[in-house]
Formats: sequence, structure tokens, C-alpha cells
Amino acid sequence: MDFQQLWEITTLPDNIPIVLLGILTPFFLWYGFREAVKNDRLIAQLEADPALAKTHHRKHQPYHPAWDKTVHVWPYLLRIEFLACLAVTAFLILWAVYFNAPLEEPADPTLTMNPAKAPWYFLGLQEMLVYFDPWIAGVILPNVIVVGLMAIPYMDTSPLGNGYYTWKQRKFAIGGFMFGYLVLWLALAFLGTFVRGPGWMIFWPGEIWDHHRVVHEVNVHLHELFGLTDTLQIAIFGGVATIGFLAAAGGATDFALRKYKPELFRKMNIVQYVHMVGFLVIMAALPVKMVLKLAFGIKYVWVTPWFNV
Amino acid sequence: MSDKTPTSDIPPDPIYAKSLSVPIFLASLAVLVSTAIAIVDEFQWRRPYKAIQQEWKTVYPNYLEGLAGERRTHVNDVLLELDEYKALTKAQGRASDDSKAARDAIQLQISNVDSKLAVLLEAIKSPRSEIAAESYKAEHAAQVAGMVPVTKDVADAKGYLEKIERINARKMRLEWDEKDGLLADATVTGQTEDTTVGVAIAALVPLQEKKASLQRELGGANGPLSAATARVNAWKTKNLGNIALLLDNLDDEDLSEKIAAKVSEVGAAEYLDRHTTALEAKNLQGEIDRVKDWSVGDLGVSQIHIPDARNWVDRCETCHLNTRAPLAVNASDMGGNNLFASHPRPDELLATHDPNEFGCSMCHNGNGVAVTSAKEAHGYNKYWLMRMFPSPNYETGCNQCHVGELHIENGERITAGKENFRKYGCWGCHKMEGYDPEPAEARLVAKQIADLDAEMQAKQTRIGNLKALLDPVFDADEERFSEMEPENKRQRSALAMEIAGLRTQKAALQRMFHDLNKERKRVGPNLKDVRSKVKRGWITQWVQNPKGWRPSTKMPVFRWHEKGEAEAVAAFLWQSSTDTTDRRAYNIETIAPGDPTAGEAIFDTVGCLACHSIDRGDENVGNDFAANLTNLGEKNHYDYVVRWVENPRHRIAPYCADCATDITPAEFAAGAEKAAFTRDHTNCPNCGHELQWDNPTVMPSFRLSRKEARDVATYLVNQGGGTGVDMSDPAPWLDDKALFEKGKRLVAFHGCAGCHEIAGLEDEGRIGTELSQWGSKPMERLDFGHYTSDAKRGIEPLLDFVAPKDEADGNDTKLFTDSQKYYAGKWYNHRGFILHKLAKPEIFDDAKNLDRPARLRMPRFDLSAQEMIDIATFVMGSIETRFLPESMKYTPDAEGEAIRKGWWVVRKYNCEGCHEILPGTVPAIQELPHFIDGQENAADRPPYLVATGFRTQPGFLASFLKDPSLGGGTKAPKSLRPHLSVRMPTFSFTDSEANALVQFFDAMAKQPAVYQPEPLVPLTAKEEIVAQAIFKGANCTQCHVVTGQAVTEETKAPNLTYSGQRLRPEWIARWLQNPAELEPPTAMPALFRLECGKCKTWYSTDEMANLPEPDTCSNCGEGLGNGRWVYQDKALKAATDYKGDHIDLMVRYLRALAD
Repeated sequence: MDFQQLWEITTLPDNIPIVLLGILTPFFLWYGFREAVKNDRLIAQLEADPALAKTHHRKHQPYHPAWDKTVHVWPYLLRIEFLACLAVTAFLILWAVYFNAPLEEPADPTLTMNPAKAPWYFLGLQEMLVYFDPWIAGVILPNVIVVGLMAIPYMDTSPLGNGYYTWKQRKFAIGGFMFGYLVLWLALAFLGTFVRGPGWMIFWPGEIWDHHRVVHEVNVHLHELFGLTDTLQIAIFGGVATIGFLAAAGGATDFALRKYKPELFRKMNIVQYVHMVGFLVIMAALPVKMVLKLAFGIKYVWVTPWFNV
Repeated sequence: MSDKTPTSDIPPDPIYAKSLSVPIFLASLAVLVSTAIAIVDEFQWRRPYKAIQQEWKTVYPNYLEGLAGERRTHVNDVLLELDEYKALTKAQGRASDDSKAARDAIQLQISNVDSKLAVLLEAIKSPRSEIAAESYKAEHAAQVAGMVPVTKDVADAKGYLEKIERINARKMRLEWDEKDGLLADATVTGQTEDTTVGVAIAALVPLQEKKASLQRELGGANGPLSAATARVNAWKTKNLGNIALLLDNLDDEDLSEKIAAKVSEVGAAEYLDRHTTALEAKNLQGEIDRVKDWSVGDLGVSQIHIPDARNWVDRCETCHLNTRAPLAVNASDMGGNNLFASHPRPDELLATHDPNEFGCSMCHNGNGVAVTSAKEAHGYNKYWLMRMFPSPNYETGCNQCHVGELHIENGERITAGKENFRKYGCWGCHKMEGYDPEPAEARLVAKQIADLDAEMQAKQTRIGNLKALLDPVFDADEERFSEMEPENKRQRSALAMEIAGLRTQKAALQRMFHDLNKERKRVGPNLKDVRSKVKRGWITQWVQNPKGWRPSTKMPVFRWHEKGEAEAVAAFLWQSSTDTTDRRAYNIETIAPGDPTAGEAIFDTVGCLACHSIDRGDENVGNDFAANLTNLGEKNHYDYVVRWVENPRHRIAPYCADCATDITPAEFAAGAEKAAFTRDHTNCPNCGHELQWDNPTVMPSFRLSRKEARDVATYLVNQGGGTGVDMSDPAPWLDDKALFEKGKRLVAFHGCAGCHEIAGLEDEGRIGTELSQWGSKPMERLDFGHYTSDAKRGIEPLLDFVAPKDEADGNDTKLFTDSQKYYAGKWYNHRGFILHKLAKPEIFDDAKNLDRPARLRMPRFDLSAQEMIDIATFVMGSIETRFLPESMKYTPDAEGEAIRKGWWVVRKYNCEGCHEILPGTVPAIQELPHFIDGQENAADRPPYLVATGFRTQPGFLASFLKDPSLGGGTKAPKSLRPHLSVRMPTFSFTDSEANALVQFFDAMAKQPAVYQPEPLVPLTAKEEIVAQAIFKGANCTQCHVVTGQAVTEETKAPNLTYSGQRLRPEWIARWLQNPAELEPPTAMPALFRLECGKCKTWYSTDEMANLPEPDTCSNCGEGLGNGRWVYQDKALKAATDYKGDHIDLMVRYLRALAD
């Protein structure tokens, strides 16, 4: 094992943010859950004691029956924000002093770098390019992400959890978000930063990025497993497979939601509900495609002369 | 808010109760501190040079004060204590003074002539073109009038001719400036001349001639000075370290002792280096004051900005403050800090490459803009593409501009690199700018010839068409077919003329083509001769491992992967070589053995050892330019060696480039002409193209007679038996036809044809990577194989590598251990690549599972560490220089170009093996036992050629180079210096090579390219008698000979018959005045004395050198410039009666001697 390669990637000035992210994300996850658990206990206590719940008191931690139900933003919130602001300023100044802009050599149009990596925050998207056509990975999916994020307030109108940490009250929302952010975004970015090497091949920590490495990989399209050769047939087959999968996944999601979260279904109107299911299905389809590719070597499911999925 | 009030049982609400003052205070403090850090970083940490500058301000003035305190002497003052040096500089000064007035006067005249010439040319430009136009009109009129002469009698021409007269008579005024001196303060007088156009035009040619003759004069006037300067420099180079001389000449005894003690401690060279300074006391104080006057912070960033070169900026001198110090400052002077050392070669390099124009990183590489740390400034940053060259490769930068030069003055290492690249035949496999240009040029010429052929063909067709156009018309009056229509006829004759012109052009091109083919040489011998040349038992083991049989060979060792590959190659070479079984057909006769003792004597003295070497006992004598001839008898057939020694250029069978094969006697016999198989038949019997009868070797012919050749060959083939290889092995596989194809594939794979001529592979391309601009190749394109990450991390696989050649010399330099000092031991860079490749050519195949054809092919050359470093210096320096402004690149003038071209020829044929061309170099031949100083034959050395351009006439030199026997051939092989045992061989130079050499020697002696000796004034009968008397009286023929006179023991000097055509009269005059001045090692005495024009006192050259006032008669105070040279012997009546200048007389006599 040779960890110098890992050390080189980790210490690259370009990668400082993602390394920090690797440390800070678990920390805040832990912190958020700790607070959430405390609040959830309080909520349970309040729910068990209707009299207590009716008093005009704060309903989350820190809690004491005699304390004010609300506190003023100024100065009690702003001073904390100001403190954070100062700390971040000091940190940014030191960062700027100690690390120069990570410039590299002049670009040479006849020579592409290998691996050619996007900045860390785009590596999740770049990783998607392995599994999809550029127009899907580079255009459709980012748009779906942006639109989906913008749509959340319109789909999720529940006021629960506003201004306090909770897990119990928002299991579905938080779980869905964590899957999208931690698994689909951060994990892919980490994969792109630390694992993808020359030729966009996978080099696990402990391996040296060897430009001479050759791997044997057989990728097939799904239809090839079924021996289809005619273009039209292939397109139709792929369409059926893809749309069928999405429809089935949508149906399954719908079934599960109605069964396990009936109140959610009841509270939402049909437009909100359909969109939510649609976004969930698209989000879930990405790891499915990754598994198909990485585990079964299936390159595309739907091959047409114009696009591939 | 009553409920906010805490009561005893309600704990305080932490949101209200917790104070954030401390965290906010701490955070504010953190912001403050980080801001402070930012400021300190900006002004101090990012400016490490400030501390460096402070250090310099202490160290440097301290050093200077120390200098002022100690007894320090200007190096010239020390040297001037030495009589020998004094005499030399005095001679130099005298040569300069003597000629200064003359040179300045000539220079002034030239500049004035130039000034007038410029005005004149401008003034007549328009009228001349007007005249040309009118004159054309007149000619046309005369033509129309029936091709009559153009005179005023032709009515239509008259007007034009009169116009021309009017133009010629037009008045004009020329105004130009003439200076009365060359200095800036010279008075400029405006000159005017009222003239007419006609007169002005007529004045042009005489004026140009005048300029040419002035330039000639200037060349003559320059000669002695350059010779004298060269001598001073040579002496300095040789003796600067000779402290003993210094001590002997110091008058202060105490000091003498102290110095002697010190010298024994540190060594002479070191002492001189440390205890002499380039500054005199007052300047030293000035320098101290300058440094001390700088107040803190005043130094700042000092930068050189070059707008022309893409706004190049170099800030190196911000830290390297002493780079351009007015005196040499060593690291040891600065407390071991190399940072403050001055540039080691200010006079040689910085004077010609002014840092203000060139910057620093232009040559050295690095990141000249960066000042934040040494690492950044030197470009040792992962992404900086132009890392500073490490010290063993400092000269890499030279090649950016001096790419076409083989010899770079003051660039010893890169010159060595270029020479090694040439010598070891790297260019056989790798294309490289400047090397082996002949094949490409020949292809170009061939293309031009083909174009000419096509053009001629087209014109010929047009003539045919024109002819066909003309129907014969029956002229009834004349009762015959009319003359062809005149216009048609004229066109046809014009075309015919054009074709004739093209033919001449073609002939010239064909000559060029012929010469280019002849100039093309290969590094290795012609392998078509294998069968007739070498023994069967020898060849296979040689292919297997050439260094095993002859360790010093330049032939590299190839990697044979399987058993039997060497056998296959040997079999292919054997079978493909010319089959000369039919010896008669190839004119190969059997030759009887000669006398080895006589052969050895010839071998030792004729000059073989200037290129070759041979083992004598444990010692190797000779030069490594060509093969070591020890054990030759184990290898070669006697007959072949005889013919080779006789004339190595003669091929066994001629090669036809068009048929791409050697032509056999049978083909000659079968050809249309049924020609005999001799060199007289220069064209191919199959295709009619020119044949190449010359071997592509640089070995010359010594014009030995058959007997001498037999003796030498007998001596050589009797060498041997030392290696223990069984040469009598019948090697049956050599005739195995099955091995032919396998061998051919291997030969082609390994690129053998890059260095050798091999049948069937004559036009084989180069197998290696092109190395032109290799230094600019992106790192990603260099394949380090499985060493890539080791190289990037500085893990060195060859840490203990010692070059076998060094090891054999008892030198255990570990090249790569040493290299750990540079680039932090990381070798993922061009330097690392090439050095590893040279040390172990197959290194990047290590741990690779490859088929044979995919393997690296470069063979192992077994170079010494220094050779590898030098080659790296050169090859790394071959870079793309697109962005360098043209003004900055070296564009040689005619003189520079002549020198550039000349070096290629000089090094190609190893002229320096025999001749001293650069002062101070020692030709190999002078180190032979026969020729070393003090030996009997020391006087038999080949002539000294420093500044020879001033001595010989170019025409003679050219013909001498082409045939040094001057027509004598093998019968009379010696011409000019019949007394020498060593002789100038016939190199069969082509015209262009001979011209290149002539121009080279002229340029090296700073002589103008065109030379015309002044006309000879014939001697009167009376003068003839006087001259003969002196010639006899001085006993010239004791040492010299004239044609027809026998050479004796006493003969030491050249044949005087050739003086007239060979020597420049101005040189003869100088020579007779003071031979030792022009050629220090000469035995020629000074035979003449300068007589004061007034009091008639005689001065010998020595006396002249010691006159209290230079060039002034110590007796009467008259300037000696007015004196005359007289023959030294007062008793010679005929001479004393002659009142003219005796030297002038003798010059004329010698020039007339040939007639």
C-alpha cells in the first residue's frame, strides 16, 4: 500500500474545500441529530402531557417552563451570527494568506491533462457523465436538481421543524434530502476527487495513479443481452424498458407512500404529489443506473440514434 | 417582563444569561491577528529578498573593505611584473599603436567614402532609372528599324538619345558629410560637389572600388594586432596559475615569503584568484560607498524589463545583487554564500549578452518574475515549464540562439555536447537541426533538377508547336518557300536560348548534387565491404558485443534478446555485402606483404595518429577521433587494408542512388557502352544517373605509394592476438540463407543503416525520435515507463550507477547520486529522462512485458558521466524559440556565418588533430612521442593555423586544400613543406567544403571575404642583383627550399617557390620584420633591422620593444615610422648600397620567385 498518492490529492490546495467538507459534514450531521433527539424527547414529553403542551411556553430545547416562548432576533440571534461572521472572516483571511491561487501551467491545446478534473464541486456531475450521455448528465439532470430544489417549498408545505431540529417529525423529508445530498452529491464528489485517476479509472486509496494501467472492461447495452439488432426494435425496447422502469418505480413509490405515509398523501394535492413522486423516482434512478454499470457492465438501457439513456 | 426575572427555583434562560463577550472578543482578536498576519505576509514573508538584501549590505562592503585593507593587486599589475608577459603586452600594444593610426585613418576614409556613396546612390537612383527607360525606348526603335545599331542616325531613337544626353547633363549637387576623426567629437564638415548626372553615375564604380581597396587595406592593418592579442590571451590561459613566476618577480621579500606560505597552503590558482582583484583602490572605495549609501528599504525589487520579448521581466538581481559587480566575487569571499557571487564570466558572456537586453532567465530559465522564494524564482514549481537549468547544465540555454553552431565560443560544455552528438553519431538515428544536412539538401536539389527538366521539356514542346504552326508558304516572286515568319523564328530562338540557360543552371545543380552526395559521410564504415574486409570468425562476436573486442570503440552495444540474433545479423551483413569472389572483375589484385618496420615508421610519422590510436604496451598513443587500431590483424584482411590505406575513398563497387543498389562489373559489361569497371565511368550503365564512387568516410588519402601502403598495412595486420577471440572460427551460419531475412529485419529494427551503408538499406530513414526542439517537448510525451511515479517522487533506481568508461579511468563519480542535488532529487524532467536514457538506454522498458518490436532500441554507448551531461546540455537546449524576438537571436554576419560553417568542416575532418586553430589548444599530434616539446621531431609539427587567414591567399589555400600535393600525386606527395615527415592528406574536399574552410580561416583572422593582392612591381635588373645577394647572404635556402632543390637534414621551412601565390605580400613584409611576433613557435630569425630615417641608428626588434618611448629613436628622437628596414649584415656590400626598403625588395623578389 502506498498512501502518498492519497496524501498528494488531499494536500492539493484545490481540494481544501472538499477535505473540509469531509470533516465538517459528519460533525454537523452529528450535531444536528443530537439536537434533534433532544427536541424529539421534549416533543414526546409535551405530547404525553396535554396540560404542559397548552401552556404558553417554548416547545423546543433549551426548555424550561418558566422561560419565554420566543426571544428577539436582535440581539440574541444576530450576535451569534456576528460571531460566526468574525470567525469565518479570520479563517478566510488566513486561508488567503497561506494558500496561493492554485494555478497550473499554461493550457496546451495539443495536450489534455489526464485525469482532466472539474473543480471539486462539479465532480458529482462529472461522475454522472460516466453513466449517462452528456446531454443527460450535463443538461437534464442538473436542471432537474435545480428545479427540484426550487420546487421543494411548493411540495413540502409542512411547518414542522421550522426553527428547531427534529428528526421524528420530518423523517421522510430529512431522509430524502440526506440521500440526495450525501449519497448522490457528496459521495459522488468524493469519488471523483479521491478515487478517479488517469483515464477516469478507479484507483482506491493506497493505489498509485499509474498512467500505464490498462483494465479490461466489457460494457454492453441492455438490448444486446436480448440479442436485438434492429435500430427501431432497439429504440422501442429501450423506451419500454426505461419508461416501464420509471412507471414501475413511480407505482411502487406511490404504493409505499399510501401504505406507510397516508397522511402525506392526504395533505398534498395531486400536482404536488405527482411532482414529488417524479423527483423521487428520478433521484432513485441514478444509483440504479450506477449499479447497472458498475456491477453488471451495462452501458445504456435505451439506445436510439439520437440519444442514449 | 416580570417572568424574565429569575427566581431561585427557575434557572436562568441561557439565551439571555450567556454572555458572548468572550467569544466575540476572541473572534475579533482573531480577525485582527489574521489581518496583521496578512500585512506582515505582504511586506515581509512574501519578500524574502529584503532579508537577503540586508545581509548583502553587510557582507559585501565588509568584503570590499577587506580587499582594500589587504594588499590586493590588480591582476594585470601582477602579470606586468613578469617580463615575458610584459613583452607580450608591449608587443600587443605596439601592434595596436603601430596600426592604430593606419587603421583609424583607413576606417575614417571608409566611413567618409560610405557617406558619399550613400548620397551618390540615392541621388542617381531616379536619373539612372530614367536613363534606363529612355535607353530601352531607343533600343526598341532601333530594333523596329531592323536591328540596327542604336545611334542618332536612327530617326526614332534620336529623340530618346538626346533625352538621355539631357538627363546626363542635368546639373545636380551632392551633399554629404565628412568627418575628420572617428570619435564622437569629430568635426563634421559638410561637403558639396556640383556635378552632372552623367559624371555622378560614372563616379559610382570607382568609388565602390575605392571602398573595396580600403577594406583590403584595413584587413592587412588588422592582422598583426589580432595575432598579437591571440598570443597574449594564449599566454594568460597557460600561465595565469603559474605562481612561481609571480613570486620570482615580486620585489618585496617579506610579502614574497608570506605569499609563498599561503600558496603552499591553498594552491597557486586559488591564491591568484583570491589575491588579485579587478578593481583599483579608488574604484574599490567607490563601490563601498555605493553600497553603504543605500538606506534601508531603498533597494526594492530590481528588475529588467524587455518589451520586445513579450514584455519579459526578470527580477533575479533583487537577490543576486552582485551579478554584475565590477570585480569578480566568489562565494568564498561572501562567506560561502553563492547568492552573492558575481557572474563567473562577465567579460566573455555578459559583454556580448548584456543583461539589460537579454535578462537572466532568457538563458538560464527559471521564473524571473517571482521573488517570493528561491524555489519559485528558480522555477522549481510543479507547473512551471521552464525550470532553471542545474549547474552541470548551465550552458543549455546557449542553444536557443546558437543552434546551428557546432562550436560555441565560451560554451565549452555545450560545444562538447554538440561534438559528442556528432562524434558518436547520435544523428544517425535522431534527426537534429544542423546535423547531417546533406541528404535533405540533396533531395531538394534533385527536386530542383527535376523541375528544370520539366521546364526545359515544356519549352522544347513549345518550340515544336511553334514550328508546326508555320506552314511553308510558297513565295512566287522568289520562287522558293519564304523565310519563316520572323516573329515565330524569334520566339523559337528565344526559347532555345532560355533552354540553353536552363541547361547551365542544371549543370550547376548537378554539380551541387554530386558534391552533396560526396559530402555526406557516415559514422561507421561501409558494410558492403564486410566480405572483402573482415575475417569470418570476427564479425559475429563484434555484432554481439563490440566493446568486448575493442573497448574504446564508438560502436554501441545492442541488446540481443534471443540466442542467434547476432548470428542472423552477421549472416545478413555477410550475405548482403559485395561478393568479390571474382577478384579480377573488381580489379582486386593479390598484394605481397611489405616491411612492417618501415610501415611502423610511416604510421608513426605521416600523421595517422592524429586521428587513430594504437596500444603500445600498456599505453595508448594517438587520438580517439577514429578507431583504435590495436589488434587490427585479428579482424581485417591484408589486401583490404592496403587498398584502404592507399585511398579509403575508393569504393569496391559504385552506388547508384536511382537504382538504389551497387553496380556490379557484370552490369557494366552488359550496359550499352560495355564500359570497363573503373572510376572513369561516372554514370550508371542501367539508368544513366551519376554513380557514387566515393566511400562515405572522412578518412583522407595520404598519397602513399603502393609500397608504403603495403608496409603500413603489413605493420597493422601484424597487430593483434591480444584479445583471445578465435578468429579462425569458420562461422558456418554466415552462409545460411535462412538467416538473411531475420538478420535484415533485425538490422532495420536497430537502425544500423543510420551509421553504416548497408546493401538494400541505403535509404532507410532514421529510427529514433527527432530531437530538434526536444527540450520543448511536453513532459507528458516522455515515457518514463513504470518509473513515472518514482521519477516524480525522486526515487532513484540508478543511485549507485558509475559509468563503465569512468570506472575504467579510475573515476567513481556516481552520476545519479550527484544529481540528487538538483530538483530535489526528482527526475521527472527532461534532464532526468535523457540522463537515465543515456546511462541505461533500456531503462524505461524495465518491468515491461513487451514483444521484441515494441522494445526500446537505443543501444548502450558507454559514455562517461561528463559526456552524458554534456549531451543532455545540448539536447535539452534544443527548444522552440518562436517567441524570442528576432533581434535577440544570433544572426551571424558574413564573417560569423563563415565561422559557423567552417567549424562543421573543421570538426568533421578533425583538422584540429594536427593544427592549432584556436590559440591555446593542443592538437593530438603534438602529444605523440615524436612531436612533443623538446623532441627531435618537434619542429616537424604541422603548421600553426591561428590567424592563418592573414597569411595565405585564399585562392592558393583553396587549391592547396583540394590537392595538398599541388599536382604531385603519389609520386611527389609533398609540396609546400617537403621536409616534414607528417603530411597534409588529400581529403577530396568538394568546392563548397574547400570554400567554407578558406572563408573560415579568413573570418577567424578578421580578414575581408574578398582578397586581391596589390599588383607586383617587377624588380629591375639592379634590384634583382641586390635581392639575390640578400637571399644568398641570409642563407635562406639553408632552411627553406625552392622547387628543384633537394631536401636536406637542415631543411626546416616551406618551399619558397610558392611564396608569390601563397602568401599575402603584407604578411611577408610583417613576417620578415619580426617572425616571432606572428608565429611564436617559429625558428625563423629576424633578419632585418629598422633604420632611423634621420640618424640612421639600427634597431633590432628586441631593441624596439624596449625603447623608452615607443617608436621613437632613442638617439635623435625622430619617429621611427619614417625609417626603413635594412638587411642586418652591414658587410653585405650589395645591400648597403641599395637605398630602398630591403623588406619591400625581398617581398617583391619572393613574389616573383615562381616565375
